[in-house]
Amino acid sequence: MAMFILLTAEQADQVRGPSESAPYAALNPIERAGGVFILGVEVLQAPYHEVHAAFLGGLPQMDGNDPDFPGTSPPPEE
Amino acid sequence: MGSVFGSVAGGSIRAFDEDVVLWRDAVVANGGSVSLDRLIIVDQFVFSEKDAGLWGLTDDYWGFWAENAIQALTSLKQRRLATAVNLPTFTANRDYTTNGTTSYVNLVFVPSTNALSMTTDSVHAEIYERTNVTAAASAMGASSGSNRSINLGPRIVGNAVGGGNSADGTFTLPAADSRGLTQIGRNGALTTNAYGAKNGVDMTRTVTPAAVGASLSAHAIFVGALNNAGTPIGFRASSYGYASAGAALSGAQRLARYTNVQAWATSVGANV
Repeated sequence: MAMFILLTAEQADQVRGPSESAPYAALNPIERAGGVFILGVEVLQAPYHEVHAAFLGGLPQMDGNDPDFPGTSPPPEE
Repeated sequence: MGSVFGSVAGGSIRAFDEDVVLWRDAVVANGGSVSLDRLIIVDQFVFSEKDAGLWGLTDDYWGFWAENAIQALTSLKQRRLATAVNLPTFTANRDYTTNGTTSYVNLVFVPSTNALSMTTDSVHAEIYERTNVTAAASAMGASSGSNRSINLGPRIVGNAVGGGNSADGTFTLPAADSRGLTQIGRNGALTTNAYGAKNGVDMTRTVTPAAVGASLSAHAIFVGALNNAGTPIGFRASSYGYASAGAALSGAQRLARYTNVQAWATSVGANV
């Protein structure tokens, strides 16, 4: 059972980018159908993403096996 | 300045390879560490690569079966610090594992600007997968559209799929198993120059790529997903111990590479 944090595009922009404490780690919320962005809940436990933990912890979560879980977004036009 | 320590290869003592010492220094500068035992192992790999004439044909190597995450993410030749995006799982001395939904590794290697050996019509990419996965998903790839794609799918049912700066071709796996070293490349300007190999042995090409790219991808190669013009797609849930990219290799060179990579894997206990 994989759980995911659901974000809006604006919320995704707030957390996207490299970690301040670990330049080898980054967050990049993944867009799904309907303009929903997701991150795995495991990022809440990562010390180098701690600066975002409180914000991300307050966002809704959904089981990846939930039939209502947003599907993959089509690739962007090239 | 070459060596700090001595190393043994072929029964004789020699200095550590200067490239290996520079890599060790880069790992330390990035905040990681390299044990003496691991330095000897990596030195032996580089020695074998140079001895076989493969080092000069290769743009970069990533040994994810490292002692720590920073060591894993510091590339061996160009010494670039890759980025673990969305928390792929690092397991010491084994691999990075991606979840097939959000996580991947950005190698920060952009073929069009970072390739020194790879050219438009001479391309090689390879990855060592440690779990047997069948999925229409990318273990390693970058695409800038118009067939400017380096893509590697180690297993879709009984085939490997991928392209070396081309549309994808299809190659018959010797067994229905994605584990081990899968190699994809192209050694000429024609679509029929596309090749694939599994554990150093050439696979039969059953579908020839439809077209080739006119220039190399301008987007960084990802592991665990395909970088589709800046957007990760085709996420793959699997574990990766090693990857490299560079110029096309001959059949004999592909086999020699597998021998070297498998020796490295065996030395750290990550072989499959």
